[in-house]
Amino acid sequence: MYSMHEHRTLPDALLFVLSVFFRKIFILQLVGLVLTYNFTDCDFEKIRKKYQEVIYQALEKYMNGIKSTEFNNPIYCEDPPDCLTKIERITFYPTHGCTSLAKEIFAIGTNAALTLQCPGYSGMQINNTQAKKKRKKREVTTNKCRKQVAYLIELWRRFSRIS
Amino acid sequence: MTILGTAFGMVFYLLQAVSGESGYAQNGEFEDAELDDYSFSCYSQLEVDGTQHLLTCAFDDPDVNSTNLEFEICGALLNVKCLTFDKLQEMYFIKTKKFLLIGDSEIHVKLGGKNITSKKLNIVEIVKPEAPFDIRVIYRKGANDFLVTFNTSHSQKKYVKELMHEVAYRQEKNENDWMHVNLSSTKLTLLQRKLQPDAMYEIKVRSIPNANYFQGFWSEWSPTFHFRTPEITGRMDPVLLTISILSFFSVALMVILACALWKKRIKPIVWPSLPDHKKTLEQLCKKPKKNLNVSFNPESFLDCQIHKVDGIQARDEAESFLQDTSSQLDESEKRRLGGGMQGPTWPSEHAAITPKAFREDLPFGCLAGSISMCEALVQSSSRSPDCREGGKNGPHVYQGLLLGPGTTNSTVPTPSPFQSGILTLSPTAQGQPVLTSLGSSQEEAYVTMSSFYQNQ
Repeated sequence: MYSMHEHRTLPDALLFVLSVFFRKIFILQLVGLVLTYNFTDCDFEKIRKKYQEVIYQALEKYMNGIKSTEFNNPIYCEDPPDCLTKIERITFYPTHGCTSLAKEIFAIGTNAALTLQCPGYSGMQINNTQAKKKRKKREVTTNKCRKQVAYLIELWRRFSRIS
Repeated sequence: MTILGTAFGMVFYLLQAVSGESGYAQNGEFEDAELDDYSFSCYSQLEVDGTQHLLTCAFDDPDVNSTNLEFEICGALLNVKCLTFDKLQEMYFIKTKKFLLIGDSEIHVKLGGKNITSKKLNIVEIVKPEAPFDIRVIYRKGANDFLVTFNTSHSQKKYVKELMHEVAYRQEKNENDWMHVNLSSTKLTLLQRKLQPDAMYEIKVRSIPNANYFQGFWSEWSPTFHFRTPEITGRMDPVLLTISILSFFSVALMVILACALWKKRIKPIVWPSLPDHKKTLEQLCKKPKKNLNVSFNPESFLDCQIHKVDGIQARDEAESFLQDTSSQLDESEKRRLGGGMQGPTWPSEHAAITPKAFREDLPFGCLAGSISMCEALVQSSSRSPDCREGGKNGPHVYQGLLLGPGTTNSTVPTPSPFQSGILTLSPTAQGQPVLTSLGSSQEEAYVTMSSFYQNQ
């Protein structure tokens, strides 16, 4: 009798812990989605200079000669904060078919630029150790990733024109 | 005792430690020994070897014992936290692609793993460009200048593309007398007139980042280039110079003459004014003869008897006049031949005077071919002071025209400027030119002419 009771409480406990855990993860993700950083107070001029001198070179190198206009890029941002919000989302948040953009050179540069020029921006914690390991069996740059980078190039161009 | 001994030992130990730290010298003097100065400076060179960048650091004090000292850079790196420098003699350097070029880095000086000194710097703010090369100077004779060109490896790079260049040149014999020119392009023009002729010059160039995003230090000077300025062998072709001077003076002379003669000579030709017939006649017929009174002022002829001519009466008077005149002419001719006096000379040639010419172009007609007529007119007018005399002894002047004997028996036409016929002066057998009317005659008064022939 006692052992049967023990067997019933163990899975229940496990289930309880896991549900609490997943619930917290879900809530945290929800909070993360809702509470995105407001890029209104950033120094857009300095960010633009860093893009023109450094980030742009890295984006072009990633595209490896393929022009961004070859992908139909109907993407648009209204103002500099909106541009930075979209740039940050595309750069650091994985999408289906392209999960490794955050570890690229242009992503690291974007992260550094936003961290330096946007007060209160904590930046994305990119795990460099994992990046090293994954680079060994790095996924081949897919067309999907190039398309994402083409979006980024358009957003950065729009940003440098309006900032 | 034990406690006392321990205390004394501690005191001595402390003294030794303190004296050691304060640099107690063997000569007994207390000196503050200076700490080793580990200050250092660094500069970066981007894309110096393909895509690899170079960061070089060195101690400011060359006497620093750099044995066992290490340099390390942390921060603003790609995919790594820190990188260690390599050492070459007294210089520390690192060649890598891992510079992020955004944000500050920290450079640590370590001795045995222990951090001695650190410095925060930004790699994009300590950029030292590579020295320019291939400097050339070409003399352009047509433009009288020197074209200076040079090359830089940064024109092919992705980063640090915009540079400011400084060109320095001097005459070889003038040491420390460098002229400096700043420019952002790789071409410079030096005017020949600003350089000494037939002199040897040397020129060099260096670069610095254009301070837009990348900043830093001057590069090393390029290798010096030497060139010689040409001699000035005659500033200008002498033939060309002579022609230029002559042309200039000719033009100046023409301008002066034009200004001086504009009113008197040029303007009347270019824009002739309508001549005043009275004045023109006076000027044309004005001769520097004594007792000549050419004037249209009636007061000048107060001494003369001027009679208004009535048409019919004039005819009768003319007939009687002719008769008198012919007889007086014979007498005067005899007197002249006998006295050897010379009368006024008359032209032996015909002088045709058309009424039209007489009417309009009298002065020009006089000038052109009828000088004799002018002379006759002048002579006739010069006789005006003798009008009284002429009126007494000489022939009466009929409208200023002396009629010869050939015309005594015929009706003498009254010449006037409005006659449609032609008056000619033709010499008679006696050598006296006679005015004859060839066309139709009109009766018209012409009282302004005085006698042009005076019996002597």
